[in-house]
Amino acid sequence: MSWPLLIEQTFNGVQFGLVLFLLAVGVTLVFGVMNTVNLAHGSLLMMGGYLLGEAQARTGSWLLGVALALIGVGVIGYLVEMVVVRRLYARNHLEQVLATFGLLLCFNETVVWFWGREPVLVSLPPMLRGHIQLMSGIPYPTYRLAVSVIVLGVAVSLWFLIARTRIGMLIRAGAERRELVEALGVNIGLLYTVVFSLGAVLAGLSGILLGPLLTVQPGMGDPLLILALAVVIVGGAGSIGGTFVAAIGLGIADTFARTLLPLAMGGGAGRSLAAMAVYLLMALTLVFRPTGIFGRAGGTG
Amino acid sequence: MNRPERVTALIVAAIGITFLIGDPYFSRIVARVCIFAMAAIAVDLLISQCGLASFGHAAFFAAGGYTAGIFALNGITHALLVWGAATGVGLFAGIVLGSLCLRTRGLYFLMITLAFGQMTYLGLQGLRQFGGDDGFRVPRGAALFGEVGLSGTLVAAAVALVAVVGLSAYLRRARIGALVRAARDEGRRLASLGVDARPYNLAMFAISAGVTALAGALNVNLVRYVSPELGTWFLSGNLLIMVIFGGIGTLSGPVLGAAALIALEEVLSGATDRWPFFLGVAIILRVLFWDAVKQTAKLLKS
Amino acid sequence: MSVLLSVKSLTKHFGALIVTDGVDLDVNAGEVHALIGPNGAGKSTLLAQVAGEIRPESGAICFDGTDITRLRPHQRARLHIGRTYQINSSFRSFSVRQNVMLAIIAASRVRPWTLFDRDRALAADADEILEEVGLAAMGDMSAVALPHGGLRQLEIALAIAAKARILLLDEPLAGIAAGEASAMIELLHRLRSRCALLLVEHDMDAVFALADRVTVLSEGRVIARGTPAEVADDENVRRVYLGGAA
Repeated sequence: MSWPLLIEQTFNGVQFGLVLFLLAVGVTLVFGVMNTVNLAHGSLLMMGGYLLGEAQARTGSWLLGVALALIGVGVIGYLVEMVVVRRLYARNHLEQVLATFGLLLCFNETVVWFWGREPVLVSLPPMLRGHIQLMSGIPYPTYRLAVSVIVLGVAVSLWFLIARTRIGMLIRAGAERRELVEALGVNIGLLYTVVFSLGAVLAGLSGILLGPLLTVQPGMGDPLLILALAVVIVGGAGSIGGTFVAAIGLGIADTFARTLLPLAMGGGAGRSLAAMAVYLLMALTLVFRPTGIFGRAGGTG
Repeated sequence: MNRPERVTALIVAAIGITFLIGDPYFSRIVARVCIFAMAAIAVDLLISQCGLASFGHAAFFAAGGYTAGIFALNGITHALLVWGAATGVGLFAGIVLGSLCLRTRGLYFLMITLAFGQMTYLGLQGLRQFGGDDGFRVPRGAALFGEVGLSGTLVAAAVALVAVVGLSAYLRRARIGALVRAARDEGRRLASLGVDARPYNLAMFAISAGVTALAGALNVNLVRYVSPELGTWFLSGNLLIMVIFGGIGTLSGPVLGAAALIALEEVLSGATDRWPFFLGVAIILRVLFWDAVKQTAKLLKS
Repeated sequence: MSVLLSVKSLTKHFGALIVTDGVDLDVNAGEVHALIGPNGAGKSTLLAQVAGEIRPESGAICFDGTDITRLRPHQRARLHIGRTYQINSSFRSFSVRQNVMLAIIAASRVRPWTLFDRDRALAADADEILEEVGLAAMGDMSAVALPHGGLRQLEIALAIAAKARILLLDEPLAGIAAGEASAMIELLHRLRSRCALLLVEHDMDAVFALADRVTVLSEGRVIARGTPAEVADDENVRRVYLGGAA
């Protein structure tokens, strides 16, 4: 493995990890605050990709497309919460898993209904095409760099939101002590809706950013959701900092496994093992340290 | 419906009617119901007795399928041998995976079984010599003697289902069932009386895995094809849906749930290509509103 | 009188808080031994350590000559150390009789593959014990439907079924209506012939009616030991219960 390849893979791993973080944050917030598991979270990522493709096709602008797609996913997230998810907060985890599994089926079929089974094209804006020289002799796709920068910006804003604003405090309090928040006179239903919608928008954003890199097709978000679950478990459910660290770690681990193992072990077996690596880490965490690296049961921080 | 005799009678009647109708397409569906009902009973055993919901049982289904398929590829098609081996593989996998997974409970158990299910699926995809992603065709189904046709498979599946119903009824009534239910209720209390429930939960998990693997092996007879798709989390999810459709904890529940889900698939896919959408809606409605419906029905009765 | 249970220099911290501070305690065979003290003295924690639910930092616990300090709860139960709980935890999916049947199974050869429901011999054995604690009429009732006093009786039935040689009771009289208290004391009295009792209790009438010896705990330390009369007279005990000079 040469230096340029190593550096390139590290950047790829970090970038993948950052996007995984975007997806996983929604999962950890919804689980930390509302103690709810949402299997359809990956569908929100998928909607982000599809809406971007559609908006871009109609307006001809990537930027406008992103804005419209974000709004669209936010609306979808709000509707999903209002119609289905809010009735699940009081239910047990198995019922939550099954009902959101049903949602996932609905989303996948809806997408085929509107756009068919063929992948939808999302194109890059001209200014983000091409490569940037990281160091001499190491070109790196501009877009991927942009994605990392955008997600880092979002992560910082998120930290600021949770740690420094009133609504962030309410979110943290809601995760720890629901009764306390209600006693403060806060409308807990509204808080839950806000948290869910925030998670949905972040999931949609990850789909929007991944659009040009992956194929936008039915079910694209589902394997990523399971990865996000692995991130949340390893990082500690309810801990945003833990989610961040675990996401970067698993992103790098996954990327390296996918490049190294096939080289070392040959094609099929190597790729297979590489894909399994993350789940192995998830299983090991569940067995030996179920609260995750940073987690406590129910708390954002 | 909770008496094994009644459930058996129902199954026998259904098979009788199927033979009377004599339509191969219909027979195929009924065979499929029997096979998945077995796996659904296995999943329900864990949920209703041990309080453990598994999202990874497709791994055992696939393990049984691949065992049967590999035996067939190597020319071994004697039914007892093939199905015995598949069940054995399932039992073994159940013991190994169970020892790890049973260290967790509740949602974490759900997640770890999901993880192992995924690992199995991805691992199977990597098996180049068995077709990787695509899997492989199975030339001959397992049989007791000679060639086996659809009727033979149907009878075998029905007999196996009846046996599994009996097994389920027995386990619930046996001390092991009582102990795991007591541990599910109050594990600490049971320990303070002198019983560590872990070996019993492991035994239940292994039995559940073995039954599911047997179902997977029988499935090979029906579809004559083996692929990693047997092990996806969709299949695990489908098993859970069958259990919840039929009602957790009854003997007939998983059987009725499997019949309902497969019938729904058949009916809906005839009507529209988008049928999974309506399945999704049905699941959501079932989860959210079934209790309310039952309450209303009770009120209306009185 | 032979020593059945012996606790030596038991120590337990939760972080910086010392909840058990070098406690020594003996319970003789056939004895009723009460553990009393003000709130927060560490009585329940001490009991939990004897039961094996909490691990002490240092010290030793011996039962009938065997060192049980490292044993887990179900292993201690197998040595016939019984336990009842402050917050009732009977098996809610089972009837009263079935609860006792489970306890009987747990105390003997489990034989997991034999039938449970239809086992008449087992049910009859359970009924005998229910008779003894006064629950004979409620055998078929679901355990969760029992009134509070009934739950206590059930807990004791479970301990009898488990063939306990010593019973660890955490406030057996807590939450029992005034009229039923004497019935419970009577029941505990009848248990003396079967097993030793180590009970944590606040109800002083019960302590005086039942206990052979009393150990008084305050802030994790033993401050007095003796017969109920001796302890009632003890200066240290009075101070701790009635408030000090300051």
